[in-house]
Amino acid sequence: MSRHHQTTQFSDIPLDIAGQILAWIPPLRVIILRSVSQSFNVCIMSPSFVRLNLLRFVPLEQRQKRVSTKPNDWETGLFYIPESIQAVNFRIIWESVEEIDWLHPQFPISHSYRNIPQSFGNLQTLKTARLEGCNLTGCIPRTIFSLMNLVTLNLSGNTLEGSIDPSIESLTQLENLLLRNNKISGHIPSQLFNCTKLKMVVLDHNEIAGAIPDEIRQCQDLQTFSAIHNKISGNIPAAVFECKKLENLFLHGNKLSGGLPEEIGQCQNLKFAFLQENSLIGPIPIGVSEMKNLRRLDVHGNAGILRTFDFGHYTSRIAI
Amino acid sequence: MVKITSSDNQEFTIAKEIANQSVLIKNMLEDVGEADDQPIPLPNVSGAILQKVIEYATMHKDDPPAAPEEETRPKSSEDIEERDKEFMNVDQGTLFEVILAANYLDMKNLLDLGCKTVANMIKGKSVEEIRKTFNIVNDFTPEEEEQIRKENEWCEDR
Repeated sequence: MSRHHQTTQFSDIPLDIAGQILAWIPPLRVIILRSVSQSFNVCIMSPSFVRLNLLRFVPLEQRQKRVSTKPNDWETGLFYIPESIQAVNFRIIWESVEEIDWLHPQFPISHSYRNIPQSFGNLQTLKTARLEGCNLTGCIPRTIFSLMNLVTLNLSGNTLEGSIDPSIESLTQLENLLLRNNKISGHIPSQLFNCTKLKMVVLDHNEIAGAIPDEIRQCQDLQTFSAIHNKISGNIPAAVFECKKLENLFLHGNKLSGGLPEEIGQCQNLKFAFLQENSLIGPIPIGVSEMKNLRRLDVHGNAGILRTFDFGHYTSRIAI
Repeated sequence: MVKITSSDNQEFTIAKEIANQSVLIKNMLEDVGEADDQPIPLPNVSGAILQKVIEYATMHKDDPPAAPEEETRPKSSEDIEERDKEFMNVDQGTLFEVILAANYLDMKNLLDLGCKTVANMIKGKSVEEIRKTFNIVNDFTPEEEEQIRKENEWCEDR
């Protein structure tokens, strides 16, 4: 082919100028133009381009947003864009977010199962992360555990799998951990209880096995420990009852064995202890009759539990 | 007055305030000093394009200095003055050469104008239409194309 009379065309433009041109196309449209050619793709996927493009289009209200109660276009995009440009997107779209409070949200696009993006760990201002019923799958990325200011982490009602990583201990401000209704397996890491501000731990309806670590005693503010319908085994450690503020202990539907520790009697704030459908044996400790706040101790469905003393006026509160 | 010469050796004599709209020329003038009467060579710009650039600079010689980028203001590539739209009503070859010249001469407003003009030609077009409009070859392997298609599935129907 002869090259005579060749006019200057788009492909003669250097990549950085092509970027300045494409940055005028709205972000959710320009990403489609990756398919035009290799150089379009390289240009659109470069973090410096994404930054230029987003700053031009993402409204300042979005960038200054503190609370997100339902996902908008920008926020939904964060779960879909390729990993290589996620970090820059997170930095701009959720620059100063403190609270994400999503409960079975309506996504602006038909939303299928997504992983939690690694870049979630960039949201260092985040205090509350509630992503409940958001069709999240895969493992909980360890980067989440670098969110130093996180007080509440609620990932209930998804299909998350894998185990809870010991690095969760980095969440030194964590008070509420809710992972109900997922497919989480593995053991409860003892490091979880290095988060000594914990008030509520809810692990119901997962596939968690192994014993409850003695380190639970480190959490002196713990009020609720709930892990119903898992595969937790071993004894109920006496250490649980060293958590003096414990009010709710929900462990029914597990594989707990051994006896009920006598120390339960020293746990004076305990209101509800649901321990049914396990393999517990032995007597109900007599100290139970001294627990003034106890409203219900349920141990039915444990073939080996013995009624050993007259519960007196406590009778209605104890189910065997 | 300032003398400049194009790549094809055409000489232009222009007023200093027009020449100064190019940061490149402005810096050169500062370097050589007032006394020098030698024309400034611009080997990357043809006479035809330089003519066009001078036309733009003349048209805008009384503009106030460019305001700093205001992040709160919504921006759009449609935001073009009528006389600039007219000025950019040229064939594609000229358009891209003006863009390259504006980049080389460091004329931000003209470069922006060129970029917006091309962006407006891209807007609303499908991938295939864009390739056709700008004579761009699809150089992906089928695997790469499929990979991008998958990654973009979520925003395709938007």
